[in-house]
Amino acid sequence: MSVKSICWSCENVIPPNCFLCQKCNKIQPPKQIDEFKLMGIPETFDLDLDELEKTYLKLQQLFHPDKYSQLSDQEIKYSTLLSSMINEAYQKLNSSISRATILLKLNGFNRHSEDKSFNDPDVLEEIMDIQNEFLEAESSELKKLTIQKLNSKISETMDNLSISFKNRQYETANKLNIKLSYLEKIRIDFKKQL
Amino acid sequence: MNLIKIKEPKSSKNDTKICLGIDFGTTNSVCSVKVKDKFQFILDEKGETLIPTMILYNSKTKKFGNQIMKNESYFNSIFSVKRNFTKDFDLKVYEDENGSKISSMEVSKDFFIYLKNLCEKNLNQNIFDCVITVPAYFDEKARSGIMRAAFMAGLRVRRLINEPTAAAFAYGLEKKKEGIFFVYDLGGGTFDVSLLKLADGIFKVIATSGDPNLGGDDFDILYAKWLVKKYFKIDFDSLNKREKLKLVKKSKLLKEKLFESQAFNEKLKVNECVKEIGINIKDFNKVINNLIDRTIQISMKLLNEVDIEINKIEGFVLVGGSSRIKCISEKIKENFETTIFDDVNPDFVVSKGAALHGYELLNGSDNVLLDVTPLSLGIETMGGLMEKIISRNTPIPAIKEQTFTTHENGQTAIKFLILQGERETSVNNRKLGEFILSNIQPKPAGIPRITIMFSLDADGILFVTAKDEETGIQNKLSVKTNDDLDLNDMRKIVESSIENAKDDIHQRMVIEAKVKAKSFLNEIESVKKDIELLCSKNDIIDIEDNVNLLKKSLETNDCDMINQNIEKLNKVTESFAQKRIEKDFSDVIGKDVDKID
Ligand SMILES: Nc1ncnc2c1ncn2[C@@H]1O[C@H](COP(=O)(O)OP(=O)(O)O)[C@@H](O)[C@H]1O
Ligand SMILES: [Mg+2]
Repeated sequence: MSVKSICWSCENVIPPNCFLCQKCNKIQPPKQIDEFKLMGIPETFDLDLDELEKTYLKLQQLFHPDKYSQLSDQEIKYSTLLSSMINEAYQKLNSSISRATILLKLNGFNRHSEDKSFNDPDVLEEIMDIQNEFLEAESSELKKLTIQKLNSKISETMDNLSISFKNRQYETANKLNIKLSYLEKIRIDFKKQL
Repeated sequence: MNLIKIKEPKSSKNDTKICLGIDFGTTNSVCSVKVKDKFQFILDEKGETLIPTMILYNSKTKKFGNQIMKNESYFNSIFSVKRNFTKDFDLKVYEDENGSKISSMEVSKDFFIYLKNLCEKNLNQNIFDCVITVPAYFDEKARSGIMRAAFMAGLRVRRLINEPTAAAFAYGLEKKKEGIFFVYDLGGGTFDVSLLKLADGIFKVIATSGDPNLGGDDFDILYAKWLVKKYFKIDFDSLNKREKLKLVKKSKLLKEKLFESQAFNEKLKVNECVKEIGINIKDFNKVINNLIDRTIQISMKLLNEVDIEINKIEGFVLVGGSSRIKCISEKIKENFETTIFDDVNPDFVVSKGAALHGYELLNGSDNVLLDVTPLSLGIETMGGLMEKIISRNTPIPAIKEQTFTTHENGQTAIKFLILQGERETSVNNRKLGEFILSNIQPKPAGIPRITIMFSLDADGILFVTAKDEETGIQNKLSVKTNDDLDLNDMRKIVESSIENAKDDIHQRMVIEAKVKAKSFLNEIESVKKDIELLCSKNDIIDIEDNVNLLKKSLETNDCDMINQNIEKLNKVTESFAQKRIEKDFSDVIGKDVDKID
């Protein structure tokens, strides 16, 4: 897929998904690649987030502009670009919702996760119910209980999402991801009100 | 390959490059440096490490820091100049030793020159490289203002780092700590709080918050007010400026004395009336209680925002002179049920972190410092609202794009207003600058696609580019004050002046001349079209020739020649400038833009 490129400095061939020239070790202008490839990790929903963080930190250890501060303007520019791409990719992959969105997009499911036409009555009802429950809860103990309930809903949805990705059921995955983003919004909302 | 160009590597293996760590504080400044494997603080003429950030301009002389004696003239000196960086630091509100009006930025430049000289004396060599710390909650304008002041002082700023991050860096390296830490930094003028993760050479800021106008200075004023009210039944605001100043200074001394003794008697003089009064810690704590509560609230809010449970946090590291106030650690313990680490010198740790980082920047290391931007950045859209492009606590460097469109049919220009802050309406946020993208293809409203790119570099400095996707016309803007130069241009000027400058003074003259020349050239470049429109052929050629002449002289370090060429260009553009004033500029239609989802 990706076109072969050559090093701007020594004209050696740069293999795809490589950011340093293997011959002269110079940093290369970053290309548009997806977040998983950028981080060099397998394309899956079930990421070990601790591992992801380690990978992220290792990449920053290599490409952060601090490591290039003595080099040419060009190299500083490339490292700033690459470092910011790594920052963004990490943030996106670290959140289940945007990670799912990326996966959906990579599998040709190019719809925004907060699709305005979303109106699955069952999910909407579920959300309303839990919101009401939180509103009506009189003590903070009861409110905490509702949050616990919400949290188990969230992890249940995550599990289902993971299964549908494994089975390549992207239609279902998309729906679950929308549900997840609603639940997550409520969770943050609840937390603020505690 | 051109062999002649290859230089012999100058440094042998054990020769390390020197980079100062400068903590330019509101109240006190500290410089330090790591040379080879030894770390050292810079001492002033009095042998002090803590250098008050004070300047006294007196008939033909300048005095700095501890050179200023605690006598009458003390009250004429300039202090807390750093506080002005969150306001309008270009206003010429001070007077220098020759009676000329100067701005906060120029005062700071002078102070940087003083620090630079001190360091050079201490280390017995020329020094240009430095890392400067800034309050984490400082906005763009404040950051670039500090950087400009340092550039004008002939310093090559290798990095700006946030004060709490620097503190955590030094602390983590020295004590070999790992885990998540809160750094609570309360100085003379600013309050910062940062949550950091430290692990095996990694120093990652998770989130940061603060108040750029809350610090020990505020305690001094509040306490002074309270004392005169209570013991003299006088309203502080009714006193004259000098009396107020004296009282605030006195109040500061009393505050610091309360650190050693919880209660004592003291003579206080207000308007020639002297009274002996009982000073005690309880009263003081009560007076500053609201402000301390505010720091607790800010810390609490940050913790809630990041979604981390308090039991996942190792504890608080206290930094900054004001963190010595005992009720602070008590309040923190009360509210957070956590450990307090006070095994660090709160005055020196920030500078130390900067110096260690500077050493690593120039000499290499496996450690990494990953920071975030403290405040959201965006532009004004329809109805005076702020559209965020980079939100607060985004890791830096960060590059983000957003596409906008026009609001009126046939609109050919858009004015962009760049904002920073958390409020919805743009008037409540800090305005960083504005720029105009013109020559947009006229199209019905909503059709053009204008991409705005925000690029926040590792110093936390913002560069903005706007591009019409159709024509490819671009317009660059770096956040700057008035007609000042782009920071990258300034950095280059400093770099080019370091080589071959005869001495410090010569170097600064070169910088000044080059900055002036470059701004002038930029100005000419930006009105190129009008020159072609308004000037005769001969005039145009004349201007072009002089522009080229000036450009050529910029490649040298000959400041006399540069200044002469500026003068020449000024002459040949005089009549144009006049004509331009007369011409009416109204190409900008509408300023509102819409976001494209
Ligand atoms: N023992 C103390 N008790 C209370 N306040 C103190 C004490 N020592 C220093 N301070 C205050 O700390 C502030 C200076 O702290 P510092 O960290 O040097 O500030 P900055 O970084 O803003 O220059 C001053 O307001 C000073 O009065
Ligand atoms: Mg400080």
